[in-house]
Amino acid sequence: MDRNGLRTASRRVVLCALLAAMMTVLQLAMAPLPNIEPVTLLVLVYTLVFGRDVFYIIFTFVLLEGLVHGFHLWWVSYLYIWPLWAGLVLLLRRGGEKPPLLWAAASGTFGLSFGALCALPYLAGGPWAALSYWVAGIPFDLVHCGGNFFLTLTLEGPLYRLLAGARGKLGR
Amino acid sequence: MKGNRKTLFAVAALAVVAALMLGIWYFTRPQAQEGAKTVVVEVVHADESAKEFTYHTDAEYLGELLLAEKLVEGEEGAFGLFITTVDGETAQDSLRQWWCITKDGKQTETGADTVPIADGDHFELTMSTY
Repeated sequence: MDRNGLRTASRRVVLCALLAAMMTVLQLAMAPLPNIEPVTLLVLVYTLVFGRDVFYIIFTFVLLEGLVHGFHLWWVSYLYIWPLWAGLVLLLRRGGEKPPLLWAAASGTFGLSFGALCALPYLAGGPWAALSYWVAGIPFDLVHCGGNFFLTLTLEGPLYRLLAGARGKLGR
Repeated sequence: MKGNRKTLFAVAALAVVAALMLGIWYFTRPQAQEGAKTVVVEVVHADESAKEFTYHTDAEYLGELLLAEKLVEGEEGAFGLFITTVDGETAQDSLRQWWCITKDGKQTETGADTVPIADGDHFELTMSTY
């Protein structure tokens, strides 16, 4: 690897670590608010700005979450939930710029399906175990949906412009 | 214009799905038994000493009973009441401790304030580590 290549790779590692750390800190800061979280919004914006590099950020974030909260069953679901969300954003962004309301609807849908996605590991205990886990958590999914919808509607645009500008300054 | 219509359709579909899920939850939520109930709560402390508390209550949910009887203290978190102190003993984060709620030895699927109680129920609050 030449010097420029090494510099670019180093920048990428530092940037991914910084953005993952920012996501973890913001998530912890908003933890007292029931199921209102910044991670969905940040994964959305990171994906729009950094494309497939978002997966490095996501897996660093998931590792940090495990180190902070412990590696429990919910942690396993984080391994596929957040990459799935980033994958959906990558698919949705095809065909040009989308209105904030569409991103808000997509974020809300993701929040609404979060409990069902988290319930998948419980299928190991049989379909009823997974179903009862999902149904019991529906009120939390509804709050998650509303929180995601309004956070994305209000902050997606400003955050995108901020990060896209920062990326431009970094020359990436 | 076509894009706007699609976006509005997506928002409307989201609202419909949310309403359907609310309906599913409402009609399948655990029904609490009303009236006088006798409930036993066994507390297992960190030193493995155990104490039994017997309550006669009309409370519908475990969290409501435990708070009313001042057996526990806790905070409202993302998943409802998160119990921090039981019978005067507080779970220490530094020791990775938490209070585990079980019913007849089986861990409950929801937080204390959404666990319905029925006459004759036996719950255990056990100091555990993660």
